[in-house]
Amino acid sequence: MDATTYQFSILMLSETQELARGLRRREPELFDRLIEQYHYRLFRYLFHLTGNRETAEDLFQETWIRVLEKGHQYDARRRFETWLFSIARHLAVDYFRKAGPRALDSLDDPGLAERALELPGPPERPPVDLLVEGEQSDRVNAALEQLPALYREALVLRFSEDMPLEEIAAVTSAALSTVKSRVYRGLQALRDSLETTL
Amino acid sequence: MNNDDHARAEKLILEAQVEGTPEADRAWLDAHLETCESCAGKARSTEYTLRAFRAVSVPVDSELLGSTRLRVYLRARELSDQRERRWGLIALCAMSWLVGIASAPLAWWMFKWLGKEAGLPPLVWQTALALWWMLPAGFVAAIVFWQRERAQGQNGQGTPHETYEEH
Repeated sequence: MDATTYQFSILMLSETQELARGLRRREPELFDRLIEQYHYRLFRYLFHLTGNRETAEDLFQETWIRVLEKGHQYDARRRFETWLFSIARHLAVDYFRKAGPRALDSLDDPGLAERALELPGPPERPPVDLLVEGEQSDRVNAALEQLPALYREALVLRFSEDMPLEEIAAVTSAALSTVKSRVYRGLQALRDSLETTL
Repeated sequence: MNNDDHARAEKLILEAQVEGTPEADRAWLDAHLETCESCAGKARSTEYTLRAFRAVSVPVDSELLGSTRLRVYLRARELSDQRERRWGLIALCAMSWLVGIASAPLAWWMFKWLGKEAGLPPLVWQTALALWWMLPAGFVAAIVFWQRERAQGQNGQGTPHETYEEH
């Protein structure tokens, strides 16, 4: 480890230690900041995982309540987002267990694909961009609908979150080889599906 | 060029995006893509797929943020109140325990005297003394248990032992 990397890791550790202290004390300002900072990424993850906006919204709120309640369990040696996503995932697993007799590991049930990815249109942009991006988004969403939830999850963590594979394995409590397989298969399936619509 | 080359190229195209490829493999792939239009098309298609996937926007309702903050704030207050109540209960228990210890010789003497006056065997008044000691603690334990059950019911919490520690 060179000096710059070492200094960076020390800096990161002191930041996460401060975060851990704030979580233990349940500081309201800290929670406001965290919700602001991570809301988009957490919601995007939950949305891709569940494939349903309402469920994602419910789980989003529950996740922050759990962060508040279990803040003392956060380990400052780890990245906050890894812990945050693993809480969200636990809640999603619980939700699907309660909703039906299937755990997240069996979410690759084709029945899940029946739920539409209900995305509203993109934000306000020039009409031409809007049209092109809207069409592209529609195509991607339609292709994502066909993928099992576990593949969608792997894709969003790897390519939207830019998480290393090891970290995805930590979030999903899966073996590294399993994670790799999900990412490869998901990417291949998404590409093949998009190719057929072009 | 044979089927093995195309299969290797396909594997490397995906690998480059997912975990990166070593320099030697990268050079081989670049050379292959220059001569194979089919694999070059696959590479372009993979890049397009990822660009398109990353460009998908998932808008978050602004009301969701507000309501989440409010829920978190209210739950934090509730937890803070619970903690204060728990400290009150602990203080009361400690006081009760101290008073109990201090009054133990007196209680023993009183129960012994009552047992003697009533003509009871020692085992009976000693059991009565033990019950007299245990009843307040049992009462407090019942209240604590009831409060915990009620709190879990209200918050729809999962199993109380669940943790989110990473592996």
